[in-house]
Amino acid sequence: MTDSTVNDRRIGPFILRFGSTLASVLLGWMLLTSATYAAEAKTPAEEKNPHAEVYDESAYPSASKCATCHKQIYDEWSSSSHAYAGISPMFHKFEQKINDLAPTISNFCVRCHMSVGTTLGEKREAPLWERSQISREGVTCVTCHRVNEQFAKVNGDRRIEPGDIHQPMYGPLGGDGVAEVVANKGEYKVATTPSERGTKIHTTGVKFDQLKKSEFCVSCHQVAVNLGIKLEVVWDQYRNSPALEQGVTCQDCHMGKVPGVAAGYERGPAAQMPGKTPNKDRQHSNHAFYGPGYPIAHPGIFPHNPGAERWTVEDWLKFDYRAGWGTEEFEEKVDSEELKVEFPDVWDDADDRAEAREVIAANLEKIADKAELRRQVMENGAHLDGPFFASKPKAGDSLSFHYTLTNTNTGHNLPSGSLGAQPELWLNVALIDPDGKNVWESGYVDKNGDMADLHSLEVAAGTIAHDDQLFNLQTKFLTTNVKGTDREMYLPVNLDVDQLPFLRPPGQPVTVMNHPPFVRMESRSLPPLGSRDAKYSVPGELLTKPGKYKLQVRMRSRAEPIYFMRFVNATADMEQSMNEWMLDLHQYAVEFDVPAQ
Amino acid sequence: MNGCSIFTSTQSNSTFQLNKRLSIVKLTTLICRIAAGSMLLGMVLAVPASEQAKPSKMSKEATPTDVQEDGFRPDPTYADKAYSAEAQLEIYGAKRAVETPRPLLELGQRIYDSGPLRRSTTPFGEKNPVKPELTVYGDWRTALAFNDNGAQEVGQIATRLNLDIDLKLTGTERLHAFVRPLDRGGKFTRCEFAGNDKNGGCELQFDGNIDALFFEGDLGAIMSGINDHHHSYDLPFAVGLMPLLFQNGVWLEDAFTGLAVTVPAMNSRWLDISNMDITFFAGFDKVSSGGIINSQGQVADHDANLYGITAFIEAQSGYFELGYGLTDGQGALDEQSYNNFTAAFSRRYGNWLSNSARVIWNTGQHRKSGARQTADGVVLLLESSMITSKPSTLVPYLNVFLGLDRPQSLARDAGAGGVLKNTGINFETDGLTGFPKLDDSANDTFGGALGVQYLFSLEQQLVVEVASVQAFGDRTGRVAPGDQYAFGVRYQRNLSRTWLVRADAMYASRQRLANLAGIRLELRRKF
Repeated sequence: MTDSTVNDRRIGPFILRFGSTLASVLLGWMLLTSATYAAEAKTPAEEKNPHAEVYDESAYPSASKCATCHKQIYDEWSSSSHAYAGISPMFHKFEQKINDLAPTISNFCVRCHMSVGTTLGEKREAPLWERSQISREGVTCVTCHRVNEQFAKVNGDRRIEPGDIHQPMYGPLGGDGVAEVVANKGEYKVATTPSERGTKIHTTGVKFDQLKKSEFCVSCHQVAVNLGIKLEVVWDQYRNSPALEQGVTCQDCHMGKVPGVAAGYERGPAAQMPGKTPNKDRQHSNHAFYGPGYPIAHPGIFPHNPGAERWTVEDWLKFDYRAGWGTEEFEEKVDSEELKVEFPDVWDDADDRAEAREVIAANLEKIADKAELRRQVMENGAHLDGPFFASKPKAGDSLSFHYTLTNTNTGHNLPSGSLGAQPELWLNVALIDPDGKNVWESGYVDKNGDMADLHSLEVAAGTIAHDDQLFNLQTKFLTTNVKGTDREMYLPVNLDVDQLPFLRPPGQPVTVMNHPPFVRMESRSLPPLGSRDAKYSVPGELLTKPGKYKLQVRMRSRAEPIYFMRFVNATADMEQSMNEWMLDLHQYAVEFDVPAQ
Repeated sequence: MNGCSIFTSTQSNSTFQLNKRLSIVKLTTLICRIAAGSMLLGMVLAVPASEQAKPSKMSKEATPTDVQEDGFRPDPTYADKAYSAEAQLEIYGAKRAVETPRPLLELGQRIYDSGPLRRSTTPFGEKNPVKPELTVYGDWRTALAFNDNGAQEVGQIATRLNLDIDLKLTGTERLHAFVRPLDRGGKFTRCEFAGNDKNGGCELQFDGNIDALFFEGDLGAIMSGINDHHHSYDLPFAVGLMPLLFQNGVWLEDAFTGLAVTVPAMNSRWLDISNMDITFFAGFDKVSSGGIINSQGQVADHDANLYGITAFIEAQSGYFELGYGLTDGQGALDEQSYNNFTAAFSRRYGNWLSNSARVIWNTGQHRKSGARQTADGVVLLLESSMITSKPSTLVPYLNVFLGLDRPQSLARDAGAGGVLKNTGINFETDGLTGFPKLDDSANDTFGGALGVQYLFSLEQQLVVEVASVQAFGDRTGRVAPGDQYAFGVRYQRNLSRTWLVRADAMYASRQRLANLAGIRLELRRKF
């Protein structure tokens, strides 16, 4: 049989020809669609305006305007990670670094983190104080409540509908309350047009059903950058979770009344109008968006606080909040000349400093409140058992034991790996001898605060020992070496293939390949309801003294590794805040007898 | 019933029949059910929410007590650190503009641009909005080289253009094509001007063929759009002429006409698997394998089919890559069909070693004609790199291999080199000037590459490597008649936001064959 005869009997060439024809037809159709697309998509406002794609800030109402009526929601949101997205110093440092290394990434990061600012066309490198107020608000009210298209896995490519404050807002429940207020606008003292006097409000509340579903969150919380590099995978994890089967949504655990648990919602009004409150018995979704993340920005600029707007961002950054400026104790020392401080002009007046201190104190209190919510969401999502001894402890014998960590959260892994390889979660276990002396420990940190693993600068320098028994659930980014195996890297960008990585759409169908070539994420997290043993062994020479020993344990949660912060040129103050606001969870101690041999 | 709607409507059916005729639809259904079963298992085994509030269990020897304040080693202290207003201002005020290289052509919304996003259209349904983006990009490589590959000595300047054409439709669906208009059949547009075997002229190699054309999408997203109902599964798939690459190209690196479907992001609390993907794939044309050759001894890429499954499992502080495939010769080449099994595990050990261990095993080829087997071997690869005090930039590596008989990947494109391509730079040609390389077949040989890479401040790269191939067994028919030794060096750096320069040199001594030598300088423009 000749080759050509064989060819004639096969379906491969047919599939190829058919596929090519089909693809050509689709390609042609899409080209036509692209050509006519802009005209179809124009809104009436755009048609009138020759610079139709450019909107001014008034087309995107600021959260501080929404706060007039939605005070409780504003307060909840003001210290949330959504509100922090555009302020986060780590975001800005990281965003610059990855743009320096992979210049095609351009506005990818700011598209989510400063959604309105990017929509307004602000440059990604624009100083924070030159940005609009709403840009600084990060993921703000209109980022979600002016969305009326059912986006899916669009990697943050989510359009916000423009329109002044009187234009419709979209919500999960409908607009009964708004309708009542508008119908009685004299009574409620509201304005529904720019020319009217009163509190300016939106004229309708439109029900947008997707807002109460997990599918609404996916557009920003399952994120892959070009080449198909996954950065956030919480949606992937949720899609194979018991929570999905049980009908539990993201909102149920992250906006309900108990952080991290689907225990229902609080009830209350969405808005508090002057003198009268409509729709008091309504489902209240908490806009704190519970999660483990925390702010490390200057407390004058975050949480969002209308009282802080008296000063500019630049002014605030010159305010040394750590030295106690504005506190009675500090100011008394200045008055008595015990302290000599050269204040910047803007902070030369002691009264200004005192007023600023009130803002700082209020914001620090909010950060502390947020820390409590963080603690609840993390403790509600995990359970720790142990220690379990492998044999009866005896002086001089090595001591083997383990703890068991369980992910009690049904919705996603622990940790979920939001933004890939950065959030850290590890166990710190210490053995204390009968004299109260720490004789052994795992999960300790170096002088910078990093775990003693391969990324520790101190381990690399040989000044502290590598922690061989470290139990760490942090996800890792891996890139393939120029040849051979792969190694852990700070960023999911391969610089071994070449040193000018372009992040363009991948040349392979990477969604069926697990990861793009030569870059991957390696998860070490606990699957929903999964457990893992943290096994430890203490050499016998550390337990020679008979008596009562103590084992104490804590699970530590930190948003960013210090080595990574240094890689992106974070400031010392950022490192300090990162370490100071680290959470210690499930901390407890046990004692046990170690008899003589 | 559409697609995987079975997930929500029939998940209580615990059994199903797999028809012998495994059509695409049934394969899809099978995959859906595997995913559904996985989720159902998780649900059945769910721990009550009250579990989290339980007191900790512990050994009976342990008694709860108070935490000792100073029981843990201390965290960093910052008592002496002065506040720096300048550093604070730099965070937000010292960001730099970065010139963003643009693709050759962008229609529709530009990639990662600022400004208002356009409104979507919904021809595929409200829940799968369409926002088309047509992008043309790639790179243009031009190299000056003088190579002696043992058979030919040529000095030349050669060029190659890689063009990707991507039409993004929705968040999950796209069409992608790839063309290489300036090379054809392994020959590149070039001018040969030196060497004993130069042709003395220039040759334009124009090629209008499409090297890849595939559709990639997610059945879950598509069905959600069609049914206007959010489905509870994701099922990515691809169909067409598509390049696939598994295990960094060691097990599979080929563009073939076929389809692939993945059940993504599964997990197992029982096996402590954090994440797992399973991919099913099949190829019906342009399946290239050194194991399937025609009567002229050439790879018969029109006469082989391919069926395979691979799993990617993240567990045990590392990841496993497991796979099975059948490379199926058609017609008279049926006797060359072979099974291909693979397993690999990669992880880091302490603060000193990164390692991957891989094995590929071919079996099942029965040549009735008595001709020599083409795919009957085993290759074992141990890839290691040291973790140094500069773990990101200073990377010494040692990759060793042992090949028995004639091992083959599942499929390899002609330009993808041999199964040892990822072992060392001395086992890889340049895909442009015919830069020489050692025997990369692993046919009755062992050896490896010992090298070091330094990436400076991530803007340039220096690689120095020595490599060897040691032959054993019967010399008759073996690809490498004798031992081979090579020294190679590579230097590469970016020149601007769009240009790179790369230089390579290698020299190899080969027993019973002419020695190899090559030197090259390449400029590359990316767009």
